[in-house]
Amino acid sequence: MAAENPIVRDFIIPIDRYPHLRETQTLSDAVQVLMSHTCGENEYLRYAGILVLNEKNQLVGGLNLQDILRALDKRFALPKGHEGKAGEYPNLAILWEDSFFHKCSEKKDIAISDFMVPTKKIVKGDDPLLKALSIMLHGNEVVLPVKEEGSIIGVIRLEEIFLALCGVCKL
Amino acid sequence: MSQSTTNVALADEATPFDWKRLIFMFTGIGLFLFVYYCPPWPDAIDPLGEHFVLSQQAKGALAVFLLAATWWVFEVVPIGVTSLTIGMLQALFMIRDPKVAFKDFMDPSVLFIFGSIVIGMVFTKTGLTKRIAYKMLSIVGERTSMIYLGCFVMTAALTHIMAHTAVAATMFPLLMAIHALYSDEDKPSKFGKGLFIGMAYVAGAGSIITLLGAARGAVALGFYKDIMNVDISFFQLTMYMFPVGWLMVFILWGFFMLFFKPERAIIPGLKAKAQRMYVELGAWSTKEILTASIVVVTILVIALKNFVPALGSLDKTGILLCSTIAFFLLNILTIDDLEEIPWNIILLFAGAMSIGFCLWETGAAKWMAVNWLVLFQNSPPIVFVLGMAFFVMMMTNFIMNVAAIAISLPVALVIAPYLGVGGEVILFSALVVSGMPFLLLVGAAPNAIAYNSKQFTTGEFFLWGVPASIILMAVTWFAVTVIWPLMGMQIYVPVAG
Repeated sequence: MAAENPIVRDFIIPIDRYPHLRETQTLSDAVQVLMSHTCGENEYLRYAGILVLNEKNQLVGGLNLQDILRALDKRFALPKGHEGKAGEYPNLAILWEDSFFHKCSEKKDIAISDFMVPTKKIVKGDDPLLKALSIMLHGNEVVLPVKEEGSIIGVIRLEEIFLALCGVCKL
Repeated sequence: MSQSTTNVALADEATPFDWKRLIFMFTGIGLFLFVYYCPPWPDAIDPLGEHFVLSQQAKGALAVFLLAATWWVFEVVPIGVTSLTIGMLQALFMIRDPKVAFKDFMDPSVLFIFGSIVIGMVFTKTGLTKRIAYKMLSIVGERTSMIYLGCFVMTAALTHIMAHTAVAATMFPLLMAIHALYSDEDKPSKFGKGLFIGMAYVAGAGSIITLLGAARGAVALGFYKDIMNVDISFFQLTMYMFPVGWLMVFILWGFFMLFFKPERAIIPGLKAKAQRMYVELGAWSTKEILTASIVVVTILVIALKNFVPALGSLDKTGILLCSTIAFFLLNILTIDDLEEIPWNIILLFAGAMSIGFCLWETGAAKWMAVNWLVLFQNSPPIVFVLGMAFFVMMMTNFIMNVAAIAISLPVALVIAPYLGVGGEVILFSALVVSGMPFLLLVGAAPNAIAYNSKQFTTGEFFLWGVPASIILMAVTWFAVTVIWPLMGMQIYVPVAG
């Protein structure tokens, strides 16, 4: 029966428990907030993402570990908009690893707004869980903000959906 | 640190209204409507007294041309969409039969360009470009002057077999890595400026040499065949362009060694690291070998058409598309790669063909050419050739070079016989300069790619582009007066009439 099917609201992490920062804060603040949420004796990171708010307390974007690491060096990014296929050059890291480690600490003061990813996809609290999963699988997302009555109430993560489906599907 | 949050709303999406875009959009539309609905314009009269009537269709072609030029220059819509507008206007305003207007969108030249883009794609996908780049680095060593030369030669050489934009995109990360080894500073260095501006310049210089380096060559030959009834082969184009292109590459190396002399003479450790990178690539993969073989055979067959009578009847586009099909047959490319074809670019070339043919077939090109003639009536032919080259060079800085060719070549080819100038010299001199927009970033994609390095400002690019463009004009003059005549090109013909 439809009423018994899982919905997003039942699996969210409330907004006050999920890492979030102002867009004026820095890369260093982003790292600190992630490191303040750890678990286990080896202090594994509990979260791999951060929500970004503006001064009006409105959600403007998000960050994940890749976004933060990519901000450390522009050489991680390739020029876009050329005719043809973008190549991958992991071996080139051999040439620039020295300068990377020499300079990466200098990036800690850059503002989050410079490298955050604007929020594009949102789900509602009463949306079916499978709708959130579909959005994630098609868009290669792992976290989605959840909206209810005009406010962001939290986030839904792929991990929670995974655990929920493992239970429901008896995997 | 986390903020305390009780009520988080969703930010309103505020996209500022783009007034500039709206202004140029309506400028283009306004120009089209004004010219199209204008009362008939006076005839053009050539020096022999012959009248050239500007028919309603020809006036329509001029109207489409003005709209397209405006939209291309100011990028009101994606450049490919401007091309679609060219076809749509011809069809709906009865400027040309829709069957003819839209057929140009899949002209053999456009499919040739498609095939050359696929070659660039397959080189990148298989890692062949990486292999070539790392090998080059391990050979040139650690002297910065040689690194300049090695990077320039490799960039120019790669443009013989793949589109110069794809070459620039391939070279960019490599040059960034080299510069990281050269300088720990984030601020620009002389070496960085020379490396990136130089890469952009020589990508253009190399791209004029074969038909695979850029679309403009295939487009120009398409016009030439249609207007002059002469089919210039892949080999002929390469034969005339090779000395000019490579002369430009080496002159540019001297230019950068003079004005951007690296602060340091060597980059210690580069050679060893490059060798390590090459070793890490491992042995040649089957796909790399297959790709290299297919490309070599394809280029050989196209070039040998000139010498082997049995191959003479084979169409070059057909031969090139054999390579495209072979890549898919051998699973080197997949459907996902096909989806990555940049249709914006393909459509740009298609639209350029359509507007060029439209200007020619409706008689608009002749009418414009005869009116232009008045300016050159008493000039020596060389002034016309260089004047034309200068015009194309300036225009190619503002719009995509294939569009510059589409706009100017049909008109120039009509003027040439009146002044006793051979068609070939117009074609090749226009192709030389259209490949090298040295002043503005918008002139060519390699310029914009190089700019991503943040090693130079747009002002610096323009500033150094001035002497580089003067050098380009001097080399063009040298080609017209010395190189090409020595190679047997007919520069001057008996005056028409």
